[in-house]
Amino acid sequence: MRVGPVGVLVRPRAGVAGLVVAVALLGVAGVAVFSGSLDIAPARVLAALAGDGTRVETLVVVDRRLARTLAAVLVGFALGCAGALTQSITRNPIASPDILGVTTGAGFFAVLLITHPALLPGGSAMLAAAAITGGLVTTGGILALSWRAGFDGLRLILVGISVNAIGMAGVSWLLLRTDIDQAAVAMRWLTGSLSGARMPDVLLLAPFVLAAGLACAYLARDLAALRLGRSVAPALGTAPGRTEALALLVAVVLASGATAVAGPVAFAAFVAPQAAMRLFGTAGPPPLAGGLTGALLILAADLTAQRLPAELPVGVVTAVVGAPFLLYLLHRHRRRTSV
Amino acid sequence: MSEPSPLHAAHVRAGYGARTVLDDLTLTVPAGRVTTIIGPNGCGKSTLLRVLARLMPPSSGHVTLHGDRLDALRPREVARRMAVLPQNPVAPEGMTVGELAARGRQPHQPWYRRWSGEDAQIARDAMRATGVLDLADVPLDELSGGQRQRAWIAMTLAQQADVLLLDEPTTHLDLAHAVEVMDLVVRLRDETGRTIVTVLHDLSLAARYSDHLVVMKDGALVAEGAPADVLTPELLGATFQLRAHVFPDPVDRLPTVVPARSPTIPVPGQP
Repeated sequence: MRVGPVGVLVRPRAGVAGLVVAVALLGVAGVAVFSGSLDIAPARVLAALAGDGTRVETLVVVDRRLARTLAAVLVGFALGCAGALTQSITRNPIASPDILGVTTGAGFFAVLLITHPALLPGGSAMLAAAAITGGLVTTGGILALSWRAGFDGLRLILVGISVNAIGMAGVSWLLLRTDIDQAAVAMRWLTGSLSGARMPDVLLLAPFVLAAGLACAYLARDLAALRLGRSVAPALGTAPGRTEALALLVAVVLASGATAVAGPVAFAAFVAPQAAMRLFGTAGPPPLAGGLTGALLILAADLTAQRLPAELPVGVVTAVVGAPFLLYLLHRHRRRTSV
Repeated sequence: MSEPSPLHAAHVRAGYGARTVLDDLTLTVPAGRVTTIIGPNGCGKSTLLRVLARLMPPSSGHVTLHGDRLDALRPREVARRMAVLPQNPVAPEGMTVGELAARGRQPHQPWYRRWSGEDAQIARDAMRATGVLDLADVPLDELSGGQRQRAWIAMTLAQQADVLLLDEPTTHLDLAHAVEVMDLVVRLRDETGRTIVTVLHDLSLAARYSDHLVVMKDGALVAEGAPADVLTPELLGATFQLRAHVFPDPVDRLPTVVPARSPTIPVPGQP
């Protein structure tokens, strides 16, 4: 496919898959914006979107439904993309940000702020800053602990799993020491929920996702070379260390930002890139296609969570979908290696 | 040797941590020839190839590629001039031969233009040259060892670099597949004039397919030259601690190495 000087090799299968996922995403987004617990005629929804709605219509359609839809898309893209990046640089499908402890680190800092609001004055923007700081600090710690004469994907995963456990213990400790109201707020946030997502969250996450999307387009070439191994990549002119560092940084910022808005949504960063890889028929977890698939996954999961008899946090739905997928992957992996 | 050497190592010292593997090694690779590095395990031949390939920086000394110092060239520029195939490369599951060959175009592509008609043509030519064009849509994990190695070589050809380094390209291959790969190496030299450096374990194979043999021991170069001049029982005794007969084969008169029987062990089938 060529547009001016820009040319990308798009295989027919990936093109069709991209189209299907994009159309499905638009369809689900349409359902999310045009329907809800409050009945509003489609014409009035359009009017509200165009800015001609009544105050109530604007509040419901723009500030609630549209904001939540956009937040779901951005959070899903961020998680799917982050997962594809960490899975790519470690060459291991297990290595998503939630398993590496990045999300838990971001969550620990956020819960610290929820339970001790006096630490940092400010609203949700501060929560985001705390989460991103937590993600970066945790990743720095994991890297430092796993570093031994260089980057090693498997050691990163093992250290990450340990750090994740420590982070979870830290979160439990914070929850035990705080009063019940703040614990309830923190608990709901920790399950992963988009019910409180508003326009400021969207505006907060959008620049990160946009920048990350560009970074992924730039990194795609080097990540593809890295899939051939750390010894082949330099022979193709790719510096492995630089590529891994940049990909990890983008992944951590994306995962932490998404965590700041929606809380640690279980399994999404793990499932979306793996599903995208099979759907798009790519040689490894694709960052941009993973992001697109993640957006669809989170949006659909959130819509499902909203429409259940008792509204559940989106994290419960993704966990219900994600856990069996992990079992399926493990099963397939075991069969392949035992043959 | 009239053409200037495209690849030259000058007083190279390299090692891992405190252990020095290469000590003040100087090597000039002849242009348009197949040069093979041989030597006992641990002599530093793979380390030398890694230093030549810029996969490992020397602690002192330097390597020049077409007259330019390797450490002064950008990685992508190096990849346009020199293609490297490391030992036992592993491709991601499900990757096809065509996709692998296409990856060789990477050093020539800016990040915003990842594919062009010219790239497709060059990748196809590379696959045709290595005899894997018919397998373009087949995943690598379904190929034989020899076919897979030829697919990897197709990737290095698509780089269109005139220097090609192959680290033990015949490891884990049975003799027929090893010959298939080495036939290809010699054909590439003849048809494209590439300068090729390989590391091989099998001495007879090295003698049969190389123009220039480089013998290493304990991180130093102990002999180099035409196989018939270099491969002698004395050299094999001194560098490999191997008692061996070296004789020209009956058809091509190329040096052939056969280990000598230890006097205490009887010949099988003879009382």
